Amino acid sequence: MIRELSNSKFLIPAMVVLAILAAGTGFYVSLKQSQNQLQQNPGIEGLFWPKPKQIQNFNTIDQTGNPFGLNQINEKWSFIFFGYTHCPDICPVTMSVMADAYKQLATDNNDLQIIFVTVDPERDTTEKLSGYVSYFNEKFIGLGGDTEMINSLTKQIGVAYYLNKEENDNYLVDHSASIFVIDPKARMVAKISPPHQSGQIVQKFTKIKDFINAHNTQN
Amino acid sequence: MHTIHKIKLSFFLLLIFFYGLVLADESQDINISNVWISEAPPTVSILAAYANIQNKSTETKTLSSVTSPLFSRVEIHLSKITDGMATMEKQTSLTIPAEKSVELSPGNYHLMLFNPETPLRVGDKATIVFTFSDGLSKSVQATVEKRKNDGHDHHHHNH
Repeated sequence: MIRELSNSKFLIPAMVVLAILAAGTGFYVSLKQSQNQLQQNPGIEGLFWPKPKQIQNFNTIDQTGNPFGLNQINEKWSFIFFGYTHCPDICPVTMSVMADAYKQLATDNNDLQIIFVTVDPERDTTEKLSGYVSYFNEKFIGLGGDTEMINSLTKQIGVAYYLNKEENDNYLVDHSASIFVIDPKARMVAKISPPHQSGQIVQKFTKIKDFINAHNTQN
Repeated sequence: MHTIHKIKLSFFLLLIFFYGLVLADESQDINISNVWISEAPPTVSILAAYANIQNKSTETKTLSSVTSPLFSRVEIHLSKITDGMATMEKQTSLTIPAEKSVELSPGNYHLMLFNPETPLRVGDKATIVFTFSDGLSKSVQATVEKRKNDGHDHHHHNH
């Protein structure tokens, strides 16, 4: 049988076909593998993958008094941080670190926006928010409104906050210290946990963006 | 000759007296350094101040109150992040163990300064008075500074 085959004039074409098949299979397997890798969490800490949460509509007011909702985060990368302006330590520390990270990222990422959301809308009026965010960077966005408006965002992101109002007029607010990363498809793709450091934010964001972009081109 | 002896003696007594004063001067027990107020956005009514408090004595010292003529009130707070939640805990006092230092720094112990009389900008100065439970009081000048990111290791950025 083997001798017959080896003598056969079909031997060379058969080998060519086999080789093509083998190469094709190999290519297919490696393609499948790389696709699988993109389906899986690539090991970026805090990445919500493969099931990022799709942000639905929300209604807040930005620092200029304009409505700010889903349309304003679509087609953009957003960092969202929750805080309040009467917070003297952790909030300004985080804002200042984000300002530093933004400075490093802005040139290559003109679609990146940094958003501060107050969890104390009663005291943080539009004017207060405007002065607050622009101190750190004039491009920063500050979101407020009323409690219901704020909750339309906090509930989706899944952050809790607590106003310690029983204490006194200068009440303190417990709030999330993480930075949430929303991609241009309005998916919450990652959470950057404290303590925050600008270099680490830059590095992490670059990794996240590369991963999401690679995934988007695959599909 | 007699008067010269008298002068010598009184001079000697005076020396002993001053030496005694120095020994008894408890203010040497505490050294407060690197006192700074972080500049804040102009719309903010609560600022933070940081410092290093060193207890050079062999006894525990307790910081019981802090005041400043420029602010309506000063409180001692501790920032904490637990499971991603940021909280602040008001401290009624702050213990400085014998021969140890306590660092008030961003994200940790800090002073909360309420309602500045005037907006403070980088380079401005404010007096802060630290009072301890043994009655010792220390008045220091704090300078308003811009936040250096990432706390103490801001030299990270330089490479």
